[in-house]
Amino acid sequence: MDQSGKRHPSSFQQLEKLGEGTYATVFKGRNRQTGELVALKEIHLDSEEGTPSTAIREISLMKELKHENIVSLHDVIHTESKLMLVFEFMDRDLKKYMDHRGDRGALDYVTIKSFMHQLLQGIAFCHENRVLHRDLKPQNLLINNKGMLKLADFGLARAFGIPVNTFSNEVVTLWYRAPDVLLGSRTYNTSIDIWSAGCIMAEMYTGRPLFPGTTNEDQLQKIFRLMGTPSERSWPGISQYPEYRSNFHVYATQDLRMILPQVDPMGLDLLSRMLQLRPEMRVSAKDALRHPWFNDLKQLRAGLAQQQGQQQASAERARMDAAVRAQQMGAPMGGHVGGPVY
Amino acid sequence: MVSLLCNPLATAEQLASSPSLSDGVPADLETTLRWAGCTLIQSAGILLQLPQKTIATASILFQRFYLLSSLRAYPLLPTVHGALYLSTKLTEHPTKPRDIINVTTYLLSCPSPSPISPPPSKAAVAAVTPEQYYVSESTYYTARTALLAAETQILRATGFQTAVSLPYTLAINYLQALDALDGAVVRRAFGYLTDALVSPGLLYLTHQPNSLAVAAVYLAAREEGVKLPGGWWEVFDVEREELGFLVVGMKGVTEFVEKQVKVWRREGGLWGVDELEMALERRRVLEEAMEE
Repeated sequence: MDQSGKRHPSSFQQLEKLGEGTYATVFKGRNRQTGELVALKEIHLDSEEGTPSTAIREISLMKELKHENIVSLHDVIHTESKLMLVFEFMDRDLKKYMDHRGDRGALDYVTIKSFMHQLLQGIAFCHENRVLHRDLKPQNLLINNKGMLKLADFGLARAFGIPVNTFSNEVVTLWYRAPDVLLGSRTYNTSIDIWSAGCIMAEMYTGRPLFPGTTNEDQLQKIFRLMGTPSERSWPGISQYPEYRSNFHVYATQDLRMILPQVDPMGLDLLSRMLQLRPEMRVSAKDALRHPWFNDLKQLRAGLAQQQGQQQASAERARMDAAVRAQQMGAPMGGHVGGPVY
Repeated sequence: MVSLLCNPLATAEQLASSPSLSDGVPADLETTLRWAGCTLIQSAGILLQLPQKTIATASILFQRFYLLSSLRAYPLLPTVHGALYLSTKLTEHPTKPRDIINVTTYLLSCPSPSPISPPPSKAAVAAVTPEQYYVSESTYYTARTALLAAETQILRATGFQTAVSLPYTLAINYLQALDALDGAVVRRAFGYLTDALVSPGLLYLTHQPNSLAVAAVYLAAREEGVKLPGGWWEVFDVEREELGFLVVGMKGVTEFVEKQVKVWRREGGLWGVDELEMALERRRVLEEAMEE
């Protein structure tokens, strides 16, 4: 048991705002002593309610979950009026990454495979430690310049039931929510995170959310339109769920190949194992990591590294050439000469 | 690592020299104050209609806190409030600070069956007027400020180690596994588990939930005349020696409580800083008189 709260917020230089969450504001920051970049999550303590339970939950979990695919919590600074969580700095979230780097949001094959592998590793680690993330979505997956993906934003969801409305009345996205949760299940388990991972995988291929529902019913309908409307025969016990309606519109199951023609057969096989309507049929994170789709990941990564190395070398050459030319032209050598800075 | 089945336990040094002891609070007085705090948490939790999970979590947070902080620096009543409030957040049973403060005020001023209240004699009950337990706005604001400060202190001292694993459901699982699930046995086992929350041996800070559950089941089954297979506790990773220790600890709670009620009534309620300081002063004077 340790004593936190000895440090002061002024140990960090506050830089630009990175985002505003439902209960916190996130800034980029710099450790004044080491120069290290960090993400500072500032949580205001309510004078009537004290420390938000979401923050308590997030901190207590994050202090224990140490894994390379989970964003690491360096420190907690507790002052009179606020709570500041110091996280390792990550360059952007997956949503922004897709918008910037992707082709109309869609990512390349190697990146998708690498991100999926890292996502599943993070999930597997959580599940081994009996932690459900419950709120996986591209905005909660952080990416750094080394191509690493890490799970963030723990503890926003509650232990029982997932809130539809947050305090600010902003609707929590339903797009990655598992059908059993949408049907009102209160006994959901680790499989809800797998459903979200499947939705994210499809989105990385297309650049668009797979099931962009607007309400609980609309979300279910969008899922059924693709996966087929389940019945007591295909999903024994489904009629017992609180949100089950006997008059659900009946859709036939679509072939995933038609919806996602860009995914290879092996990838489709993995995807279909994650996007099973029945929670008990969904693959576990551990088994998903052993899926043959990942067999060539090492090779692909090596190829990618080589490619990037070549790109970097040619960029370096271009920089040198430019510098030489600049010198020949009598211009001063400076940091602005040359191509993009990596 | 996070696990639903384990709790952080107190180290031997922490148990041997508590911050309160180093701060000049005699060990026996600390024991009494811890008992009073846990008893108030349990009684207030019942009046607030909180589930036992929430009440037990509050008790354990309270006990953990005084393993790390002194009773002289952090008085009893705000800590009781803060632990209860924090626990209602952790266990998803949100409760207003106002309700918590109202209930403890009521319990401490009106006669009730709780050992922490004035004894429920007929005369005492007749003498109670609502003014005695009415919490005015200004009293409430002061108490709420202290409650929120205590919540912060608990989080800070424990470094946000607020996850608490409880033995109650384990006891049911074990009885199921032993094919001995029976209402009377479960009730008795739960009674022992709740008793153990106030035990002077800080059983929840020194033993994991599986051991506590086994000991409670052992006692309950024996007293209800339910026979269990020989050496069954080993299946649940508990050794005979630990079981024996816990059985003695749990059985001793009744007698311990009877004694504490008397001590508490004599001391007269040490909920704030001033009352505790006066009690310490009284003891000092008494000791000096004895020496002369």
